[in-house]
Amino acid sequence: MNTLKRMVLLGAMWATTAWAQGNIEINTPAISQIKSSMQARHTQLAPHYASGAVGLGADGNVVLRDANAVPLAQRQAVQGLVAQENTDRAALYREIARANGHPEWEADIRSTFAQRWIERAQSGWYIQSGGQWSRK
Amino acid sequence: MTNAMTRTICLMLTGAALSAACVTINIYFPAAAAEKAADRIIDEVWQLKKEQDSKAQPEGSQQ
Amino acid sequence: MLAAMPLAADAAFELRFDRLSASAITLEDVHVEATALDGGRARVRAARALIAGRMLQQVQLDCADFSTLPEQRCRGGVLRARGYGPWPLDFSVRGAQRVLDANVRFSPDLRVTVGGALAGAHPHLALQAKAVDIARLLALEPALQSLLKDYAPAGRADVEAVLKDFGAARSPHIEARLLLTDARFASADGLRAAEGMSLALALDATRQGEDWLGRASVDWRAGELLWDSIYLKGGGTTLASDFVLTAGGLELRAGTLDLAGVGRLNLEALFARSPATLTRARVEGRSFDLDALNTRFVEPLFAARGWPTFAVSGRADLVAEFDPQGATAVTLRLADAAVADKSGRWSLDGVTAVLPWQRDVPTEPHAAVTSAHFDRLPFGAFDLKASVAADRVSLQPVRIPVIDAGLRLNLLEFRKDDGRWRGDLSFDLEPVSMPALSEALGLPRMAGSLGASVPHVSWRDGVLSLDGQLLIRVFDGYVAATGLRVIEPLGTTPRVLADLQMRYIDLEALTDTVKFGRVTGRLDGDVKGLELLRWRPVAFDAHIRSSAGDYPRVISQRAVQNITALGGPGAAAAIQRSFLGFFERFGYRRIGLSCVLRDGVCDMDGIAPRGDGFMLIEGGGIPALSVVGYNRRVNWPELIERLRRVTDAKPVVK
Repeated sequence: MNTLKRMVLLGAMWATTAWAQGNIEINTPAISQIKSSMQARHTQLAPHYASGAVGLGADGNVVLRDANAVPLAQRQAVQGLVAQENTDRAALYREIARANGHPEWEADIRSTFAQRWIERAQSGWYIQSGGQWSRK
Repeated sequence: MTNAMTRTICLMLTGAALSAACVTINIYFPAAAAEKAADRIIDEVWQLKKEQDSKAQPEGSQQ
Repeated sequence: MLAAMPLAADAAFELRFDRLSASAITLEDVHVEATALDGGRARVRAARALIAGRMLQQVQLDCADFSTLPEQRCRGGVLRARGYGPWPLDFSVRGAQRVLDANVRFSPDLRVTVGGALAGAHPHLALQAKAVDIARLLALEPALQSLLKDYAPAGRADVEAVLKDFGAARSPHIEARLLLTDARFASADGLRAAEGMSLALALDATRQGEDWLGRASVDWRAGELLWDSIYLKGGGTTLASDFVLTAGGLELRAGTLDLAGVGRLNLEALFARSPATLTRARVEGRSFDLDALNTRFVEPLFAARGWPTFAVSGRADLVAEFDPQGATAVTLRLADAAVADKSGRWSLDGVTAVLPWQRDVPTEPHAAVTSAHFDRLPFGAFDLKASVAADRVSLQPVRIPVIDAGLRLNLLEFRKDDGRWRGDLSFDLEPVSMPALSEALGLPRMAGSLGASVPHVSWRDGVLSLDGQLLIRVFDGYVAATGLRVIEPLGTTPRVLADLQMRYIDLEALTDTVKFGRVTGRLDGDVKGLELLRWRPVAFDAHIRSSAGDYPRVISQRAVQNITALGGPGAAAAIQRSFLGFFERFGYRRIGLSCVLRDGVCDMDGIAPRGDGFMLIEGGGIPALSVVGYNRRVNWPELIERLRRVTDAKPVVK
C-alpha cells in the first residue's frame, strides 16, 4: 500500500509539474502552415459570420447554418469554404496534440478551441450551444 | 488541474495493487495552457491583434 | 357576410334533386332556392359535385341575380365548397350548344376566364388565367403540395388550358400551357433553392377510364437552381416525357432530359402519390461529355466536401437505377477518357473502363489504361481489375510498366472495420535502369539500377506506414529507411517520418552525378527523426562521416570551393587568392558533418572543434587541406539555395 501511495504521490507531483510548466507547443511548421491557410480563408469567411450564414459550432467546427443569407450563386462556394475550414481545423487540433506528444489530447484540444472560438467571436456572429443557435 | 486530480483519485480507489496503472497518470491535459494557446492562434487566424513579429527568424549565415 | 345572406325566408321556389348531370358536371343531393326563375337572388347547394373527375363536398353557389330562362345566368355570385372559396363569379350558358361564358375571381389578382360549349358534338372549355400564384396552383394537387411543402414555392404562372370532349362516354382531352415566371423555392437551410426561374410547361393528356395519359414537357429558359451542392443556370435544359397519371401515382415513360452542353439522359420513373415518393427510376445516358459532366456536377459535390477535384475528359455512358432508398445500381462506361489532378501532377490517359456499382451485390469494375504519369515518371499500358463490395475494395495483382521495368502491385486492399476504412499495400519495383530513370526525373544522370521490395504498407486512420525496411542500392552503397510513415498523404499537411541509414556511398559516383566537384572516398550517414512537411524537411538529426576502411581519399579544388561557398559568398575567393589555388587536388583524412535541423535552422558541427570553429574536412597527405566551419547556425532554406546554385553551376575553367 505504501508503494501505491508513493506512486500516486509521484503521479500527482508529475501532474503539478506539468501544470506549473503549463506550456502547449504551437510553434511547429505544420501548425504555422495550417494557421496561415486559415488566416487567408478568414477574409472570405468573415462576411458570412457577420451575415449569420456561417456560425461557430459547439464542436469546434464552423457550420453553414443558414445558406439563405448568401446569394444563390455563391452558396456552393460557401459550402466549399466551410468544408475546407473544417478540414484545416481538424488538422490543427490533431497537429497541436501531436506537437505536444499527446495525440490522445486531440478531443480535449478541440473542445478547448470550441469554447475559445465562441468566447472570442465578434458580437453579431452566431454561436451554438446545446444544439441551439444564438446571436452573440 | 482538476482533471488530473480526478484521475489520481480514481487510481487510488481502483488500483489496489497495480503500480503500472499509476504511470498512465500523464494523460493529464493542461487546460489553462491550452486555452492560452488557442487564444494565440485565434488572434492570428482572426487577426484580432496586430501581427506580432514573434516568429523566430534565423539570421542569414555568413562564414 | 355571404353566409349570413338570408334567403330561405323570401324564397319563392325550393327544388330538390337527388342527382343533376351535365356533360362535365355531376351534382348530387341538390337543393335550389330562388326568388324567381328570371331574376333575383338564388342559392344552389349540392352535397357533392363531381367536376372533371374531381369530387367537391358541400358546394354552395349564391347569386344576386339568378335566372334559368331564357338563359341560365348568375350575376354577382359567390361559389364555395368545403375547403375552397369563397370565390366571386359570374356566368351565363346560352343556346342549344350551351355556350358558356364564365368569370371567376379566385383572389383579387387572380381572375379565371372560362369559355366554350358545354353541349353539342364537340363540347369544349377554354380556360385562361394570368399571373396565378404558383402556391395556389399547387394547392390544386395535394400530392404535389405535400411534396413541396418544405420548399415554400412561389412565383407567377400564366395558364392557358383547353378541355375537349368531356362528358359521359367520352374521353376528355386536355391541352395546357403554363408559363412560370420569377418562380422560386427555398428549403429552410437554403441549400435547395431556385430563383428567377422561367419555365415553360406543356401538357397534353387524354383521360382513359380513371387515368390520364399524355405527354408533358418542361423547358427551363432562365433562372438558377441549387440542389445541395449542385448549382445550375437555366437555358437550354429541357425535360420531356410521356406519362400516365393514376389514382396511385405518376409514371414517366420514354422521358428525355437534355442538359445543355452535357448531353441527353433517357429516363423512366414511377412516383407514388401518397406519401409522395419515388418508387423506382432508371436513368440512362450515352456519350456524355465527361468534362462538362465533371465541372457541372462532380466537382461542386467534391468541392463542397473539401475533397480534391480532378480534370476529366472523354466520353461516358451512364446507367443508374433507383428505389425509394436511393441508388441501387450505377454503371459508368468510359471511352478514351483521361483523368488528371488539377496541377497536372499525375494523369491516367486513354482510359477505357466499365465501372459498375451495386448497393447490395459486389461488383467487379475493370479499366484499361494506355499510359499514365506521376510527376515526370512515365508509366506504360496496364489493365486494372477490382472487386468492390460495401465493406471491401480490392485490386487484383497488376504489373504497371515504368521505363524499362515494372511496378508490381501484389496487394492493394481497403476494408471497413468498425466503420473505419483501413488499407494494405504490397509492391515490388523491378530494377529500373538508373540512367533512364534519372533522365526521366530530370535529375543528373546516374549509373546502376534501382529496385525495391515493399512487402507491406498499411494505411490506418490516415497514416501510411511501412513495415520493416525499405532498402535502395545507390552509388555502390545503400540507403535504408526504417520507421517510414506518411501521415495524411492527401491532407492539408502531409508529413513523412523516417530514419535513414546510408552506408558506404561511393563519393566519386555521387559527386560526379551532382556535378559538385570530384571527391574520392566513401561516406556513411545517419538521419534520425527525419520529418518532411509537405514533402520538405523540417526536422532531422543528421550525421555524415567517412566510412571506415582503406580507400583513396582525394578532394578536388572545385569541391573545396563549393563546400566553402555553401558558407556564403566571399569564402571561395579567399582560397583562390591563397597559394592553395595552385593545386587541383588535395588529400584528406576524414570528412565529418552533422546538422540538426529545427525551426528552419541547421545547427552544424564537424569532426572536432578547431579554434572558434569546427573541422569539416581534416587534411592529410600532400598537399593537405582542412576545411573549418565557423557558423554553427545556418538558415536551412538559404543553405538549400546555395547548394542548388553550386550544383547547377558550370565547371569553372581557369
